[in-house]
Formats: sequence, structure tokens, C-alpha cells
Amino acid sequence: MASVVYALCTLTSGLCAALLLRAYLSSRARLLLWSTLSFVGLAFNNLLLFVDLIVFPAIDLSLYRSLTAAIAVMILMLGLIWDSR
Amino acid sequence: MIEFLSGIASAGSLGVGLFFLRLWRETSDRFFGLFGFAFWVLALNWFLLVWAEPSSEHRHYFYVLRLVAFLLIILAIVDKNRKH
Amino acid sequence: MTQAVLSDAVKHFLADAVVSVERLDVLLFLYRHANRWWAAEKLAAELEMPSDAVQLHLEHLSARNLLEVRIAESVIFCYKPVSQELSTLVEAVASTHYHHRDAVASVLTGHRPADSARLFAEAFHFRKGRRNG
Repeated sequence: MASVVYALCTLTSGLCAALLLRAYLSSRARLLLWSTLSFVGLAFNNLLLFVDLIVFPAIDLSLYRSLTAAIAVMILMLGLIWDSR
Repeated sequence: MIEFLSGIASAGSLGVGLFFLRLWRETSDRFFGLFGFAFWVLALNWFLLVWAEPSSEHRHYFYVLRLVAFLLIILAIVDKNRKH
Repeated sequence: MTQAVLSDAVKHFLADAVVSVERLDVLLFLYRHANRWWAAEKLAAELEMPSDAVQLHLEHLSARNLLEVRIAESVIFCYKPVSQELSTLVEAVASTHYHHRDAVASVLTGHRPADSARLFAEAFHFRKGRRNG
């Protein structure tokens, strides 16, 4: 069950990243670039969760998980602060 | 270090959620509301990670939260494409 | 405010596709000079607006299927809505703008969210990306 959830989350954030990238390429609005990078980060975060907990339960990737989460969220936060106007 | 990073992720997504909720009010586009709540759920997820030292038997709480967050995002996207 | 002269469809079109008074000026200018092709620079000189702003408006309008785009020496744009529905909406906007300019302006200035936030939401619209349809 957990693996399905993590796969779903990975795919969803990947889809978001792809849609945002497409919109960035057509509009060149910087917020969309930050958002794309952020969702790529979230996709990695979800992927790591999947790898960490399902594929290699013996290896602890929690540092990388929290690192990708923090980076992804901060990129989006800063993008919204700077470029949402 | 992990707690610190999760704290950043949690506070950050709380802020991101606030941003989206403000955009919801400004535009009355539900899409932003759904994204806002999704990021608040993620904020809760990472906040609990700081506190809970998640040993594997508690993990299912976390993936339920994550599932809720991403279902909200999926719902927002589906809703966006259903209008018109 | 005299927004009552506008139909809901026109209001929605203004708020959703036109978004700003500047972009409305670009759209109406192109509409009045239908069949003529414009590069952003030349149009900017005509409208007395910064050319990078005009460029952005042109890209938005073409993403909304209101303009046709060609690549010649530079990228050039021409008013050509892809559907009769869009064409009717623009005509309605143009005629309302002529008779009730305040009503049109009040829709655009009334609830104008951040432009890039709107782009963010639009990014998740699957069909939007088609430009040549």
C-alpha cells in the first residue's frame, strides 16, 4: 500500500513539474521556473521515500529526504515572495 | 540536522500554503485553495517528522498525510481541467 | 460601476484572458488592424509601450488562441481567433469598450490577481498549450 502511495505522489509531483515547465517555456515567467524546480525537488523527495522505505529498507536516506524536502519548499517559497507580483 | 531540515520544510510549506490561500481569496479560484491546503498538510507531515522520530511502525501515519496532500493536488488539477 | 452592460461571458473573458488594461489595448489594436502582421518592437512603437511588455502581452494572447504567430525576420503576430466564439467575444469587448469604456476597465482593475500567479494556475490546464489549433 505504502509503495502505491509513494509512487502516486512521485508521479503527481513529476506531472506538476512537467506542466509547469511547459508553461514556463511558453511564458518565461520566472515564478514558473521556481515552481518547476520545486516540484522536481518534491518528485525526488517522493522518489527517495520510495527507494528508502520500499526498495532498500536497510539504507537510511532520511537526511537526503529531508534535504530535498527543505530545498524544494524553500525554492517555491522564495519564488512566491519574489515573483508572485 | 534532519530535524532542522524538516523544520525548514515544515515552516516553508506553511508559508507556501498561506500564499496559495491568499491567492485563493484574491482570485476566488478554488485551484489555489486546494494547493494551499495541500501544502498545509505537507507542513503538518514535516512538523510531525521533527517531533515523532518516525520509527517504522508509525510510518503509515505519515504516508496517509502525504497521500492526502497529493490527492488535494490531483483534485486541484482535475478541477482545473473540468471547468469550462 | 456600470458592469451590468457586460454579459457574464464577456466579463469572464476579460478577467480570464485579457487580464490587464495594457493587454486590452494590445488586443484591441490588433483587432482593429486585423490582417496586418506585427512584430513586438513595431507594435510597441505604435502603442507607446515598452517592447518587452508588448512582447509578453502578445505571447499571452497567442497562448489564448487569439493571435496567429509566424516566424519571419522576427516573430510576428496577427489577430486571428481560432474560433467563432472567441471572435464574437472580442467583438463584444470592442463594442463595449467603445460605448462603456469604464465598465470594461472596472472588470480589469476590479479583481486583478498577480499575473504570474494566474500563469501558475493556467499551467495546470492541459489543453492550453496548443497554439496552432
